Amino acid sequence: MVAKNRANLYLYLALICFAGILAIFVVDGYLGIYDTAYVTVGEREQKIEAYSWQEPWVKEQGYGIGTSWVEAVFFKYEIDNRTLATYEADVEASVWKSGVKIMQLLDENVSVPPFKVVTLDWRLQAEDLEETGIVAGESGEYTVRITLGELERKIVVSYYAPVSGYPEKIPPQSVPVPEPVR
Amino acid sequence: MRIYILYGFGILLCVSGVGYLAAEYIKYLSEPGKLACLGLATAMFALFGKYFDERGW
Repeated sequence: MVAKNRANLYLYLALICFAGILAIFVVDGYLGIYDTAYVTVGEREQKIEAYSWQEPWVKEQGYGIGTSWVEAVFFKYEIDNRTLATYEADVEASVWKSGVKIMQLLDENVSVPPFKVVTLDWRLQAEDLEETGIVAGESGEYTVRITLGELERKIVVSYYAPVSGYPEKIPPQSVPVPEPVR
Repeated sequence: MRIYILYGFGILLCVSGVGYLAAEYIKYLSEPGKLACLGLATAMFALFGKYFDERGW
């Protein structure tokens, strides 16, 4: 009888552990503030998932995207509030080069109701960068810093210089066509 | 015999499904959360082991 009770105790404790794991999944894994960025260059959209920001190389060096000067870069930033309270924060997006702020892309105060998503859009184009004195057409990297409250996300935009295409086709020299031999 | 094969297949699907969901969810966990989950999972398997041990399996 005592052995059976002890066995049941182990079973209940094991089930409590299982319930604890599920509770951690829900509380720590699902609840919270999640920010997802979508970067569109040309016809390609790249999704930077909320957990991608935690990757060591993204944290240190930023998420890299490549583009040419003729293409505008479109950003869509989603803030997902999975908490029971309204989330309010300042969202700022700016372009940086070598640790110097070049231009401001966005500066807004957002209020996200519980379990709702708010999306912000902005774009970065060569004309705007040229206004700050940057010469378009040359290869270079610029960091787009997105700050959400105390969080900071980095997206490194690499502009590449236009690559020269194939050499121009040279028209064949006209030579007399020999008569067919009969 | 066939019923045990079906049971085995069902258990395998359940375990793989739970494993897949756990792998998906664990991406969103913080480091302390992952550690707590690891501790609880270890304790859970140990307690299940003790339970079956007590039952004489």
